[in-house]
Amino acid sequence: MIAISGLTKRYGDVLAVDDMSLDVPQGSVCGLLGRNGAGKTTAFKCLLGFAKPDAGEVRFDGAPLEPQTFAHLGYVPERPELYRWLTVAQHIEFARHSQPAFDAARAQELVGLFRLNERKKASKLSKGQQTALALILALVHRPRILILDEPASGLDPVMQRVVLDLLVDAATNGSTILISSHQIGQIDRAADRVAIMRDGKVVIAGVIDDLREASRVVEATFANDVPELSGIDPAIRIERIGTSVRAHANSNADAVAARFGALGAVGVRVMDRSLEDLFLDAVDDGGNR
Amino acid sequence: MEYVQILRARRILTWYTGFLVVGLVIEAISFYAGRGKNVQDGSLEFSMLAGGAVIAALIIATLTASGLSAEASHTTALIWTRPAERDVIAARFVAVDVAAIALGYVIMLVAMVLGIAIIGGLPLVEFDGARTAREVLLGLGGAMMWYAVISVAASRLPGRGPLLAGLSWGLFPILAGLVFAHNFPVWLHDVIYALNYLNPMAWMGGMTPQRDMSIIPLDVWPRIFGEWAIAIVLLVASVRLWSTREA
Repeated sequence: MIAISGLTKRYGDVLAVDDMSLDVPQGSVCGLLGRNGAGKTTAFKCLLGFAKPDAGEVRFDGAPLEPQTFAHLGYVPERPELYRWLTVAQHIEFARHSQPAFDAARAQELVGLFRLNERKKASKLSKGQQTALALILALVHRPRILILDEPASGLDPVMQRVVLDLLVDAATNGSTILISSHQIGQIDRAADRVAIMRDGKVVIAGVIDDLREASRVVEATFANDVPELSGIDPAIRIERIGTSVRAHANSNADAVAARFGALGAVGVRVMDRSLEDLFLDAVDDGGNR
Repeated sequence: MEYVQILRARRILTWYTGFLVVGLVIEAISFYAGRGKNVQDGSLEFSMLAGGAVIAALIIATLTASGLSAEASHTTALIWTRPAERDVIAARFVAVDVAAIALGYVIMLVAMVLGIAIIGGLPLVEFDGARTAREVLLGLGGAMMWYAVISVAASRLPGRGPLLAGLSWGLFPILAGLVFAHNFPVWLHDVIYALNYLNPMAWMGGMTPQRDMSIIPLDVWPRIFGEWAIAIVLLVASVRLWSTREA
């Protein structure tokens, strides 16, 4: 489990991470979404001890970060950090020397899965292959906790699918995974939870299905003008478009749909919102959509 | 943990040894091709060889000193996610480098002895244990100090290690030479003199144990002690600075 509480990081006048709190339960895949500069990478740096937070606490499986935490934690940075002059095999050897829980069979399995040539130097690998090698190094000790910053960047669609399947498998086997990505489809496919950051703050966090359930939209079409919408909770946001209305009904969607029917709507439909809709709403600053 | 640094040091020493072997082969070919003549007169103190071989230690020190800086620049995510204290990781890196410097020194000394043997001069070499020990400790202390100064200067400058290492070959001799310039204001001369306490060339004194050849006005044993003490203090500082920086 990853428990983040009140994490704050400031660089001069810039509040990069602002009172971030987030729990990722064991066996869960949590997608961390946000626009560029939202604070995701800085949050990861604070989690891993690369940067010192100004406030807040991070606990992994109930314990604060200490060197031994990395015996069961894997990390993939935003840009693959590799020794350009070492071969793939030497990188694997580095992991064998530096990770007590190194699993040689797992390493060979992953090298085969990503079809890497072990004799190739890191500098000769494509961007996608470098990402694959970084993933292998993060996975060779079968970590209980995985933190991945854009893990599928540079990978072709087939390899992206392989990576996501690896993550889902790891979570099924009890690993806790925190993953950031700009590709919402990847998060939608692999994650069961999501946290959306904006200006350093977590503005939405929760189980993806619950968030979708709680943010349904009811669309109704009337034959003529839209009548006065009596009997509908005034707190519900209503958009009028010609003879149609859209109500952001959240958890009251069924009741609102029934009310629209009673008001004479000729067509009513209740729509689940996509993760992308949720994301765009959460990061919308009113001027960029 | 230090696997990569061992590979780095091995690569440097392999190239270095390769150049020395090529040099010895050229010497042997030219000598045995008939142009050479066996050395039969005079004597050669082994301590002079020991002092001369320090150049190898200085070269290896310069080439390895940027290791921690390189780690900070490109591979923090790898090296800081190992299950070990960062101080320990850095200290083991430094230990590998120190061993490489000493090994580079020994390789050079062996190459020099072989070079003399090729021309038949080995019987002329005279060995003075005490004098040789002083030369070895003074020279290696200077190399360690050289390594430590670069290491501490680069510890918070990710990726700048090689630049600082290169600059050191210009900066240290100039700094030592400026002590003998007498047309500076007194205060500037004092500043230059004070800075030379961090200049390994000033402590080594032209790689000779003679007091009158050294900028630092101490006898040889206090100079040896001073060099090693400064090197150790700066190495501890560089390890701490590297370990406690933010990525």
